[in-house]
Amino acid sequence: MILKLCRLYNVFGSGASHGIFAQFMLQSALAFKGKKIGLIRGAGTRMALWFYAGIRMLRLQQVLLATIHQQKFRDLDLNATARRAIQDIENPVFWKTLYALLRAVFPALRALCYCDSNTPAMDKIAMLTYRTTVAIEKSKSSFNDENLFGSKASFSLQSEEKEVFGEVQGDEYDDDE
Amino acid sequence: MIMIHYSFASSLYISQSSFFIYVTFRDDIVEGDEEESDDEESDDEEADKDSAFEAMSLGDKVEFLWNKRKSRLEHDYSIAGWALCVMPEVMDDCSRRMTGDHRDAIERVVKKLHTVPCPNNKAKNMMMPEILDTFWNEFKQFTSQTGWASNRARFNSPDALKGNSSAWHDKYSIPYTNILGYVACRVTSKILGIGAAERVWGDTKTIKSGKRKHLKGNSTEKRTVLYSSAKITQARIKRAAMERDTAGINTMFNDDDIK
Repeated sequence: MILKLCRLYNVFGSGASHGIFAQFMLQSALAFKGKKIGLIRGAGTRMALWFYAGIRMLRLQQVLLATIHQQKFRDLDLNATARRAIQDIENPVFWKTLYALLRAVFPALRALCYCDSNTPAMDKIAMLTYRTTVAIEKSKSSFNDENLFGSKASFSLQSEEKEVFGEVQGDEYDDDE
Repeated sequence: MIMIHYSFASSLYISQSSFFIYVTFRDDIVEGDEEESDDEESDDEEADKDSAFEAMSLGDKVEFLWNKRKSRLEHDYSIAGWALCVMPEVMDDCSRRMTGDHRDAIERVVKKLHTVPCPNNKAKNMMMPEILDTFWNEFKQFTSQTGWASNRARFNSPDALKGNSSAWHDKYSIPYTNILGYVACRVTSKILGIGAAERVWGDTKTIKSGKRKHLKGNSTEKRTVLYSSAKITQARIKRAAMERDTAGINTMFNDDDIK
């Protein structure tokens, strides 16, 4: 899921491909009364940023769908990564997986937002903890669903894997410089 | 002498059709000569735990990991804060789910906040049973919106609706109550936050840079501790030197400080 979010951001949200980005932002402005709301770049450097990026992605689902169904978008010359990103957007299982995951952690994210702010929030923590427990219990069947969370990452996500987790996986450098 | 070694490493990896959570959690308490035998036993226990964890389904894994962390969020202070919150959503939740265990937790907080020397002047001449009894009387009035809390318009104030419970109690509880207002202002106020974790993460980022960006957890942890300790010591030496040079209450900020 992280790698797919990363790929979608690279194709639609980063501005690396000007044509795609321009059309996406135009659709975003149409959907949100003139406000151009873009995707969030996920990273491991801020707590739960991948989840925040996922929530924004889910919020922009209709905008993404509207973008890829335009004729002028279809006329663009797309590379392999962009085509796979479009397949993700058109895949209902992707959105269902994202929704199931975010539904389970949403109260915990609210608690994290309160903890991260400079306003008093001790009185809400117990309630949000309870709600997270309930949300996870309700989502257990979704987590155990092999169609949603069953298979491994696809081969086509290798470049994103390198971008997110680095070039070398599992090597430890213990040089004492 | 007791040496406590605590290591925690977790990684979260999510893919479209897979959602792996791998966590190793180790609490080793080593005491004196029993170090080796305890190590072996704890290794065996840990291996059993790991194999049991691997055998779980994804839903069970998520639930297991959440339950392990939940206990640290549902502590006495957060329960007391939840019971004394003035936000309508939280008050409804409290009236539905309040149990005897929650009341015990609240009592422990009240006792702790009124341990001598207690800054609550209104409770100076009270014994603990009287303090608790007064608190529960005031709490009953608070939940039923009677007595000192009978003015219902106050529960519709912006502070109550936005969830600024500490500000609300400061305005509407402290002047009218002996114990509840004092407790409520403390348990609904700002929690410590994640500033310390963010600061340590700053040190970690300094270490995990360039060729060392793939350092694993254990190595990173040790290096971060060394780096942070060195920086703290360096700062202390610098502060001591500056205090030695510019000691005295008449010391003023001058142009030299700007350079």
